Amino acid sequence: MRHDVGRRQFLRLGALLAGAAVVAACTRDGDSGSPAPAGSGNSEPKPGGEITYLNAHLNQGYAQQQVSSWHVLQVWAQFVEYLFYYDDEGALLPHLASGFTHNADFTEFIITVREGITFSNGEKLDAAAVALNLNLQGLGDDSRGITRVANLPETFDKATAISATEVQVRLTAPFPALIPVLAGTSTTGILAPATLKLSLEEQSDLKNTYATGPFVVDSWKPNKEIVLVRRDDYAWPRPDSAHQGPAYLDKITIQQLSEASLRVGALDSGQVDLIHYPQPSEETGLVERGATLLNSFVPGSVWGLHLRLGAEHLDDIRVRKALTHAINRQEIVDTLYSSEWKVATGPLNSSTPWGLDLSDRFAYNPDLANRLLDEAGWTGRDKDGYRTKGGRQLYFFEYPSVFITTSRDDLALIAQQWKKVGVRLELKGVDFSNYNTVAQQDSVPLYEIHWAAPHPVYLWRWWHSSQQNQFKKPSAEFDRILEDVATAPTDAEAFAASKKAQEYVIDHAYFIPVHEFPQNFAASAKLKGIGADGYGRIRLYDTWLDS
Amino acid sequence: MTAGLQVREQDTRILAGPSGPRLWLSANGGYIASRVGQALLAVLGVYVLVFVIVTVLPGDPVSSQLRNPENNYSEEEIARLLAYYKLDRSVFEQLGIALGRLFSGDLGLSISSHRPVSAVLWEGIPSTLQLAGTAFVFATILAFLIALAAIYVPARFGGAVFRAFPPLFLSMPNFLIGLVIIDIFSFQLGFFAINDYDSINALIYPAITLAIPASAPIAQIFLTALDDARAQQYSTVAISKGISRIGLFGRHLLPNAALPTLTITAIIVGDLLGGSVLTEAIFGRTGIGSIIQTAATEQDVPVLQAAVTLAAVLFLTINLVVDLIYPVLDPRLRKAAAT
Repeated sequence: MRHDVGRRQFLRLGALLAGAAVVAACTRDGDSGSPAPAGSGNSEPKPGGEITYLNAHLNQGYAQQQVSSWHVLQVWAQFVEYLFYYDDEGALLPHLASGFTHNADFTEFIITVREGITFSNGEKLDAAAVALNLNLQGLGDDSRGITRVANLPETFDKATAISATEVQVRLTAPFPALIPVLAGTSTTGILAPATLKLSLEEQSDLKNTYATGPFVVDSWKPNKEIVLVRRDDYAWPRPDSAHQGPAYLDKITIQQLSEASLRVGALDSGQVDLIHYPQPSEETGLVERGATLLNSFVPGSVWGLHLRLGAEHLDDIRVRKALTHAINRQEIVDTLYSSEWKVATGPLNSSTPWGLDLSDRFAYNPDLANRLLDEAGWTGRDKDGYRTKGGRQLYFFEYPSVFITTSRDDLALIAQQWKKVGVRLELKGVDFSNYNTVAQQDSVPLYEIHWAAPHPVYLWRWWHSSQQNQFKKPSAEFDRILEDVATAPTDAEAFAASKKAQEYVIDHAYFIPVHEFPQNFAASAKLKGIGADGYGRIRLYDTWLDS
Repeated sequence: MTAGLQVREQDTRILAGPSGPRLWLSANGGYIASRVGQALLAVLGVYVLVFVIVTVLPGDPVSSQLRNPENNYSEEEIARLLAYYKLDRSVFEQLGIALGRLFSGDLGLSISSHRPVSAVLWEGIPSTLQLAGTAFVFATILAFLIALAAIYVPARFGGAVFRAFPPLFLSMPNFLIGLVIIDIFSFQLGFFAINDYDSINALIYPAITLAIPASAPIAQIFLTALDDARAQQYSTVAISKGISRIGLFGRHLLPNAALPTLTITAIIVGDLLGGSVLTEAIFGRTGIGSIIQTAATEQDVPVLQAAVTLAAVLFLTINLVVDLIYPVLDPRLRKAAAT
């Protein structure tokens, strides 16, 4: 069966092959050119120049399948490319691949690899190189301590080059969403065979990373600085790029500065050109002082609370619903964030093409929250004003995420809001290394997430009782809904099936959405053409310096 | 502080021997070897202790990474990784493996970055030595100037004000000093770029940040010791004989104030070597402090063991050197045993 990436996607691919002018005419709605990156202004792009970019963290090692964080992605995205990707409008597009086919039951895929592409060490990108990548990603290598890419199906069997440009991927069980997962996972970048054959120790050395991107690693000081230089023979940009040929910038110096206020100060004083993670409270001031702000809302990513259905008091849907109706989301965004941030309108953010606006079903309504709690029998009050039933306080606790810097502030405000309806929320502490163990205990009533979901299959990953489920109480009915999502043969059917799942978690108050969670960047006014893809990765390929 | 001084007094009895520094050193080779042996045992103890502390804590580095529900690894996959890193072995087996690595000179691989521990450490050692050394020089000069000003600037010119400097400096946290320095001298005045890691400024300003609070205890001890020495009868006699201020300071006050000051200085150097995490973070430097902090956060046992042991080696070396310097500086210690 021939499978389309999508009519629009193929139009985009055709546009790429035809040239930049056609690319500009072939977008989602056919009513605009390639997405205009932030800060593009009216000036003409100019090649040349060097920029400095401050990341909050740089790693000590960069073996692709062992490290995955937003900090790593911002570095990785400048020199590693993918077979498929999601653009900033959430559309699945081919890049190093030109398309794919699959059999009727989705156990065999044929991925066609683009020709004329080389890695930065001179090796050729062909089907054999892609097969080598997919096998390491799908299976890992226990003998080298390399983990498989966990988002890929455990039923991954083997990838084989069946011609110079075609790779056959076999699965032992159907998995229709293989290509969306390859596109929506950060650790599926295509690396040169010479890199992949190295030991884990050698792969961790960034200088050994050879890929196909528009920049190459020139030097690396772990935890301190990465210098990237332009690759002059680069000629295979993604379809959503604003230009063709090599990148404009000669050199990008990426440095680590962990203190957010110092990153903002360095940008303000002109010492650097671009920063990741400015403090949300600083965003308005940065814009007023002339900086360009880029908030990339990654599809799916909503900061919110998973409710543990087996934890105390949460087996009662009235209590769960009261908790969600007692949260004033607009107050949280207004108090803690800039006007660029948005309240959640559903379990998935508003930039998710298949996300539903269900905000009416969990809107702030303290009267309703009070009524629900009264109906649930929580009618008594203790000396501190918290609700009681049978002498017990209506009490919950949470371990603020060690991965989300804004978590504790969000939760502190939620605790204040819940107190107004008589619910006590205590914020506990746990160290970084024990967070995953402690916060996942069944008895911990709340668990926060802001996971990305570029495709509906991720809902199955998040919520199915056999997967990452954090509700911790299997529901056969909900599992069936999610299985329909995972086994939907087409994107359209997966989108449709996902609606039931989105409604289910809201209507049953399994999940409390609070606000959308962007990847935010700030750039100096002279930096033009910055943009991010559909995974919150900043792209500096189209970026230029306006003198 | 007091305990430290008492230890030094006990040491002086052992250190006693023939007069003359060179003669004393040659005659006390056994003592030196004994102290070096004790230091090596202490290093071994630190290595084992770090392992025990990290191992008895709940969780392990592989699980903490792989058990993130966003990663979705099966228990079987996690078990295979634990086996690869030998984290499925008993604590004693793991300790044996760690000790084997130590004695063979192979510090192993970092569990979080997968790079050789020796490479990770080597990236921090030069930076730490540079920063700690420069900060130590600055702190010593600053402490010396404060103590002299407090003693010799007349009260009518505000001499007493200098006595308030040590407690004031001690109460100023490093990160606050660093942020103020960066804001004023980098962002406002443009004297240096915060990300220009290769310039001399990248060393000077963090060193000043570290030196200000580090100078406080040195100045306090030095000042107190100078006051004590000045109140002694030999000072009164010298003054009555018309000795100049410089002569009094050089011949009577400084030699007598040197020993307690040296003691506190050794402790401060130890702190500077391992305790500059915040300063390193603020100024974007990678040193032993930040390596320890990262390794502790990620339960990266091989790196943590090696880095803490290295810090202990540096600390013990400095203390050993100071112990050996005492009798060189003070003839009374060399003669004590003979009498």
